[in-house]
Amino acid sequence: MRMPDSRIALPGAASRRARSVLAITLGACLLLMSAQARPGGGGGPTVLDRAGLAIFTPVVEGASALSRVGRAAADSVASYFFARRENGRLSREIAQLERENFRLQAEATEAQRLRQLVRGEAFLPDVRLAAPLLAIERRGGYRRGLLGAGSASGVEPGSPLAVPEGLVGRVLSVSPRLAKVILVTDADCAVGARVVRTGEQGVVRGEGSGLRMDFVSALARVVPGDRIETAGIDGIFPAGIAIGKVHSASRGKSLFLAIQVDPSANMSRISDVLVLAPAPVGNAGS
Amino acid sequence: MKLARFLVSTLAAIGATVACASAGIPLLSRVDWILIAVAYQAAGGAPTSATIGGAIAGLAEDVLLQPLKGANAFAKALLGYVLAMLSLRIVFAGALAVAGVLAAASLVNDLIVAALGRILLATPVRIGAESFARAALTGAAGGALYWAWRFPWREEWRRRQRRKLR
Repeated sequence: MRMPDSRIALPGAASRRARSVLAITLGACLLLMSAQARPGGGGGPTVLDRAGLAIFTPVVEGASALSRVGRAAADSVASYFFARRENGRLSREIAQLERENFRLQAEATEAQRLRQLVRGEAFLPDVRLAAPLLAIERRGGYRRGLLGAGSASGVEPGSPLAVPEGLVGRVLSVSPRLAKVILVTDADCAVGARVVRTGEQGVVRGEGSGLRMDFVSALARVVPGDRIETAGIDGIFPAGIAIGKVHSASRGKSLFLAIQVDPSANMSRISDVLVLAPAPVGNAGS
Repeated sequence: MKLARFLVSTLAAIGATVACASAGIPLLSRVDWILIAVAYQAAGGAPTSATIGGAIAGLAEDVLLQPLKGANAFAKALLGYVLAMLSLRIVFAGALAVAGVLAAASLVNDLIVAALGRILLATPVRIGAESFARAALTGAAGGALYWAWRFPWREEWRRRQRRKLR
């Protein structure tokens, strides 16, 4: 790094113009942000959201297609070299899945018998489609993403997103072919949850990289390893989707436990997600 | 020419952001490609166009991925102006210097966005390992791109050809 001889500062008029442009630009940004900070101003999707998603759809889809083609090519080259090892691994995996399937069938029969006894309704998440998660923004406490499907494929604002391991987030706004999503680890995301073992209910909030569970009474017996799932009390997420496992639970400053939760889904390695049907109105509290 | 520079760099940055995330490359998906595009625009030494270019590129990022529309536009307009003014006064000779400046700019960007989110949306400020990792990776990617851009590929290729002929 050195001070140039040839380069000189801008002439006075140009410098003044640059400062004016900066002031006007920053002022416009502040006005735009203030409009969203008003009560009720930043809640739902805006015209700007929809227009932006529509404008950038071709760029996003093109880049995504290109990268997927590249990845597929790399995968096929790799699989050519590692086919034998892969074959062995898949055989072991199939054997394990068959055992798992056998156990699950027995459990399903048992659950059906119990449901008949209590005349309860079975809960099965209504999976609408699988879609790629094209980009994830990790800045500060924000964890937002772009989903490669939109209203044309049946994605609606509020649709929960999950992977087989557990809950991922929900859809915020949609354009015909893209959707903006908020991940469960976002600092602005909250999910009604319960501890599977004890039934204690609370609210799981994002902390950027992890999760915490609030509003669980200090008298509750929650231990590390307890599974946490959606409770269906928020009217957004259907009940029974895995959220994570308790990492630690201790007495907080108030009447509630301070519970740290490890997400079930590996948030740093999500490529495709399942889009579920939004929770029906009136499901809250079921 | 400036418009072409702006359009190409901004669209390439958005494309790179999506492509790296879609390909599932964790290191590259953490790089702030849009900040690198803004720095590239600012390297032209025109603060006015760097400010406007930074604001538009930041707004595109906000619209696609951020909850507070205008936060990144604010940060990147400011950074575009500062980087353009810096490039008028200082020559960043070498990839290491470019990497250092980009890493610092990335941290400042995160700080501004977090502060605006805190003030306007009451979002908790979380500047931690994630921000430092992003700064380091953005600096490394920017430095590598600068090195590749400045490297005399044609001379190197001719030199190799001459060596073959001997």
